[in-house]
Amino acid sequence: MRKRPTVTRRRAALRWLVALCLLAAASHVLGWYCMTPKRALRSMERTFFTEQTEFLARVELPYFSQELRLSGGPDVTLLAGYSFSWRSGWQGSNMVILERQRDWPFTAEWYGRMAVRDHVYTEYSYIFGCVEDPAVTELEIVYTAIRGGHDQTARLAARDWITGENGRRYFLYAMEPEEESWERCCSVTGYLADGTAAGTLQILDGRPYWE
Amino acid sequence: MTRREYTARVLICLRRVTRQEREAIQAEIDGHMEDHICALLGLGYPPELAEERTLALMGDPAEVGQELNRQYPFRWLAVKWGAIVLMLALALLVARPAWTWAGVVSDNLWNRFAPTHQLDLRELSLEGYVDGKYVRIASDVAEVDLRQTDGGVTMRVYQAGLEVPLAPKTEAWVSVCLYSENPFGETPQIYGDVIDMTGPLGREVTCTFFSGVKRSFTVRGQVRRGEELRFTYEQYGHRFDFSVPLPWGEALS
Amino acid sequence: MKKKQSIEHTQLLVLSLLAGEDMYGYQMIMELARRSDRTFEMKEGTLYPVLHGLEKDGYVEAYQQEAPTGRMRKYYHLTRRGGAALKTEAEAWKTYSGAVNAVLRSSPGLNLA
Repeated sequence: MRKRPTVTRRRAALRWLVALCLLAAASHVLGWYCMTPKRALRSMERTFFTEQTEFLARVELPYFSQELRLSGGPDVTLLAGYSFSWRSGWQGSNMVILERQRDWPFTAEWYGRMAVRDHVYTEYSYIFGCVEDPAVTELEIVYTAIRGGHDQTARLAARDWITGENGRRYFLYAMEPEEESWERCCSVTGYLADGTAAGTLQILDGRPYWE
Repeated sequence: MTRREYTARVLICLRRVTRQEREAIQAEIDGHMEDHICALLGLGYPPELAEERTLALMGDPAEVGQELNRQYPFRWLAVKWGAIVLMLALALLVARPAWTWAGVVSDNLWNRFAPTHQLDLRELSLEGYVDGKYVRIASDVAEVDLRQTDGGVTMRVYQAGLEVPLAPKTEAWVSVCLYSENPFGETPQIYGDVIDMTGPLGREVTCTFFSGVKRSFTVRGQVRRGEELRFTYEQYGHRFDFSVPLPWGEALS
Repeated sequence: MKKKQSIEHTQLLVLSLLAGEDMYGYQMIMELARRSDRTFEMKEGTLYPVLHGLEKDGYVEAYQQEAPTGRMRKYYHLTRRGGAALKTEAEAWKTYSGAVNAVLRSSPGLNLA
């Protein structure tokens, strides 16, 4: 005669908890609902067909309720905004991909976000990249305002490097926010230990190019 | 007091049980009394006396009910309901991405085994109707199967066609699709503007995406008679490089 | 003397009944009366809080099976945990009752065998 087991409250509760955990785990692994920023990063890497990278640095992005995270790998450097919401889990957005060039002294790229508050446009800019040549000891970032905004200059040295896997050196610099900045250009110059310039990269005029 | 009244008095003390649990308890106590009454009937008791004796031996229904109620603490019921609510909430949240993912899995499988289901050169037309005629992209289409895998993603060329196969110079088209080696894995969205195409002798070819077609696209370029169409995708450390044979027919004299 | 057993005596008796075979409620009442020579004749309704409590604590598990009359009956089965608890409590009871008997036997004026 067939036996039909009775399920106790405890067993039923545990079964539902297990089902919940399995659904959460499946959602995380399959990218439906990312429980961690790392999973969100993997989804974006897959979408854009880059390799896997590792998180290196993180800064709060004011006004946007997001954090910017820098990640790097053997072939690319990525900068993207990450945010968590109960509705969607961790999500990454506005990713900028910088392809590494091993025969260059360094690679650099600009990342910007515009916020509007009381009809005032404020731009938050970040310069990031990878120092490819170990001989490069300093970087100078020159931000020139053409229409609106103001000029800015910054120098990055060894203390500012972010060291990744295999000793690769990255950088991430937050420029001062600019209001009503409509046109500008930006260049990054690398310097060797003896003060010689290793090259100047224009990074805000279409694709980066050497001067 | 009757059997029914006894059970009712027990059940009235149960405040922490669900409807299912209440029915189970009722069935169990009813069944017990029925077994006892049947045993007494077997001994020759008349039905009324059998029931009376049974009820007398059952004990105080309120006491039984209160003791039973204590065996059902709210704790696990709360855990169960909480888990159900969270599961439903999570299921609602992931319904759309899960549906999208199902589409990705479907694309992976179609592109791996039957890519013409996604995009068939024979089904496409350049401009639709031209001068009242339905114009096809390629009038001669050959099935090919060229695959390259990099980073867990396979790019597959599965059709090659020529607009005018007999002409000395014409437009060549190939159908290309992508799938992930892991059927449940995400497949990249390689967009046309990031594909660096070069044809024979370095001539540029172009890449066209057709809306509504998943991870499938066509590559086209001008070719001279007898040439193969070559295209390369190279970015972010990944590289695909194809030389595609084309279905050239007999030359025009 | 222990003020409270970790398992009550009624629970101990129910567990020992189930050690032999799976039983349903009424069957347990009859078997208990038979084995104890009618010494233990509990109020039958009070068996069910005991059984449901043992089920809640994981000492027994229950299943429904069709009785010869066609009605579904709830049977109880001793779990491994219940078996271990039975063994432990039975040992404790044996020690306890042995000690009580020893004290009573040595008490003057009590003619106990």
